[in-house]
Parts: sequence; C-alpha cells; structure tokens
Amino acid sequence: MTSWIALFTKEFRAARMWLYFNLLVIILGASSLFFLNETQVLLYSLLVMIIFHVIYLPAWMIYSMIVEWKHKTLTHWLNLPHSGLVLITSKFVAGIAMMILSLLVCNGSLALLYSYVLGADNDMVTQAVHWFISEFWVILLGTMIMSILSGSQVICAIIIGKSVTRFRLLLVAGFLLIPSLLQLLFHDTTGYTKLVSWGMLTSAMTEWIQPMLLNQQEMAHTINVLSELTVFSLGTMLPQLVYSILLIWISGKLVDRAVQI
Amino acid sequence: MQHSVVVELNHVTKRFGNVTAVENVSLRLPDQGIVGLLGLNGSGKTTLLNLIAGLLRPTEGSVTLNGSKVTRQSGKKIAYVADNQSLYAFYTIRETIDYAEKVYQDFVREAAEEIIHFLKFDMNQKVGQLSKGNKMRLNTAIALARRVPLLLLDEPLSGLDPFIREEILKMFVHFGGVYQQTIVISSHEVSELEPYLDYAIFMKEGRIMLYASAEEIREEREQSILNVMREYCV
Repeated sequence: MTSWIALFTKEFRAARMWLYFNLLVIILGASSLFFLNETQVLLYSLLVMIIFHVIYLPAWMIYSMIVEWKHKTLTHWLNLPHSGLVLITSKFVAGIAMMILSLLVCNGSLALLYSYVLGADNDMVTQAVHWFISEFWVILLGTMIMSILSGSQVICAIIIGKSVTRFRLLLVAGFLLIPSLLQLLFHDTTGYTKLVSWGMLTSAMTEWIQPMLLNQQEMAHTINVLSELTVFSLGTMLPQLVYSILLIWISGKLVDRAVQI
Repeated sequence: MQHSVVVELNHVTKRFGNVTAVENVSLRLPDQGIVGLLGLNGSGKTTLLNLIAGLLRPTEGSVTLNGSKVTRQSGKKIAYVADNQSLYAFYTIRETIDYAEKVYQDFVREAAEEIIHFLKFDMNQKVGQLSKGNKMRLNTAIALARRVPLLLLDEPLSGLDPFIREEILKMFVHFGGVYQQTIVISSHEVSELEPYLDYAIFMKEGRIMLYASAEEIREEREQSILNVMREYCV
C-alpha cells in the first residue's frame, strides 16, 4: 500500500503542466461568456464541460505515459518490483482524482454562472438551470463513469500496442472500434434496450430543450449530441464501470506478461 | 535477502523484424562477482540485458531466474539501470531516496545515504539539475542500495569523464561486493573496467564469442581483457 501511495502521489508531482492545461481550458470556457448569447452559453458550456471530462482520463493516461517516455523514466517504471495492476491503477486513480477536482470546479462554476449570470427572466434557461442543479450529482457521476470507461479503453489499447509485435495498428483499432460497432448494431434491439434502459437517473434534456430548437435550428446537432450525452441510467453506467475494471485488470496482466520495452 | 539467483539463458535469440539482435545465446551468470558484458556498439549487449531484466521476450529460447521464466516482475530480484535512464527530475535527491524507500522493499536507506555522502551530493538538489554523470551516479547509488542478488547496469560509464568513471567503479567495489551480489556491467570501454572484473562475456553481432573468468584470461591466456576483446569482438 505504501508503494502504491508513493506512485500515486508521484503522479501529482509529474502533472504540473497537465494541471496548467486543465486550468486554461476552464478559463477559456468561462471566457465564452463574452462571445455567445445566453442560450448558446448554456448549451456550449454544458457540451464543453461534459465532452472535456469524458476525454479527460484518456488524455491523462496518454499524457502520463508520454511524460515517462520523455523524461526517460519508462524503463525505471517498468522495472519497478510491483504488479502491472499497481503501476496502472496508481496512474489511473491519480487521473480520476484530478478529474473529480476539475469536474467539481467546472460544474460548480457552471452552477454559479447559470444561477447568477444568466437571465432569470428567460424561461427556457430557468428550466435548464433547474435541471442542471437538481441533477448535479448524477451528471457528475455519469460524466465520471464515461470518462473512466474511455480512459480504461485507451490505456488498454496502448498496452495492447506495446504487447504485440505484429498487426499492431489493426489489433488496437479493432479493440477500440469493436465495442462501439457492437453497440451500433444492437442499440435498437429490444434485448439491448431492456438491458440498459433501467434505473433512469436523469430526465432527457429534450424535455426542456425542444422549445429552443424553434429558435436555434443551427444548433440542432449540438442539442442532439448533448441529449445523447446527458441521459444517464444505471443500466448503462454499471456495465460501463464493470467493463472498465475488467479492462484495467487486463492492462495490468499485459504489463506483467506481455509488454516489451 | 536471497544472496544469489541462478540466471540462465538457453538458446536465446531475439529478433526485431529482420534484424537479429541476439543469436543463440546460452549462458549461466555466476552467483556473485562483477561481470563485464563487453562488445562494440550494436553487438547486442543492451538487448541481452533487457532480456535478463524481463523487459523483452525472447523470440526463441528461454531466460530463467531460479528455474522460472523471467518476467517484468523479476524486478523483485533484479535491479536494472538502463543506458540514459533517468529518475524523476522534479524530486530532490532526498525525495528520491524517500521515494525509493517506499517503492523498493529491499531498499536500505542507510546504505543510500552512505553512498550519497561518499559522492558528496547535496541532498536538496533537484535531480533535474544534475549533470549526466551525476544522474548516472545517483541511479547507480539507488541500485546499489537495493539488496537484490542481481544488478544490471547498461553502459554506466558511457560519455562520462575519466574521474567520474573511476568514482562509479569505486562505488561498485566499495558498496557492491558487501552483499555478495552479481553485478553485470555492459561497456564498450574496457580498459578502466578491466581491473574490477571477475568475469567477462564478449559479444559480437549478437553472439557470445567468449565467456571466461578474468583470472583465466589473464593467467591461462596471458592476455589482457582489452586484447581479448580486440581478438573476439572487432
């Protein structure tokens, strides 16, 4: 445990540039206030907040591995007398900790923005704000789980790439694309719908977002993407979490048995 | 600490695509002593060390540690300092020792501090501010402070001035022999290393040309290790 904590805390020391970048993204997002109208600010800030944090963990894992390589500590890291699971989880959990902090700062700032800056006389905005604040923790949890899933897929893909000597690109691409292809093939089926559409935690954004479409045709695509991203159910979140844990375990085993320098 | 391990390579070949880096190597490392892994650049020394450390898998053959196949987790018994390897630049030397104490169960803090004192390092200096030579000395110090049976060092003397090279070699003798470790040092610069070697492995184009004790080379062959290297590796 002491070793894991030492590796975990080391990640924060290594993440200085990453944290600066995180801060920059939040500041740039906040500056959108000066360029967009109220409805656009609402939609784009939500979109940016969710998408940025969904890709947070994959980006962090890639960054963390690049830092090890760039600072010539990769051999040292791989030679550490600990299981691959310890090595991978210490990086991954550090990323989760930073992501939670970023999400709290982002979502908290958005909650303040929506409550105090956006017009209270705008009914649509009021409904959206009410939705965001009443579902605050579910949105946070759902975004985190999506990020954990994408992060675990990316690190597993990196490890697979370093474990095989032939058909590397093909295997990595296949590994990344197959789950999405399977989802695409089956997502309209009754079986899949019954499997995932239980334990609905958020009402669909479209309930209060539809009226906006009347005046915001050019943002219809944005609104559709946002709707897809913000319907959270236990039926999707729990399998995603279990799958992520499995991928992390597989990554750890591959680091121990298959990765080559 | 287990004072010795049996490391055996049995008909080990390692290919990278069409390039054969190590070809049909069979050897058993000695239980203790300083082993020179000698050869010109590109002779396969680094690949061989990576295979022993479990960071590469052989294309053919097997590398075993006490009878079991070597894997990455052999790091519990093997300390490996690769060529150009660094420690974390954002840590000070003191923090590096703290970190090493936490991640290596076999790390002896008192030994590390003794070596750092011997090297006259400032404990509060950041690793990132150290020169190349000092980074290598620190790397070697951390490895020597681990009580593992096998220590692998890839070109620890490369690119360093003669004074630093001598200091590093003295460290091996002073601190490395105490715990009966086997220390394998790869180098293409033999003359300074020669007086310290107990065994020498000569490599050329991925193959072992000769593996003998230093005593055998000097007394029976009546040659210096440098001359043997000229004979077998050039």
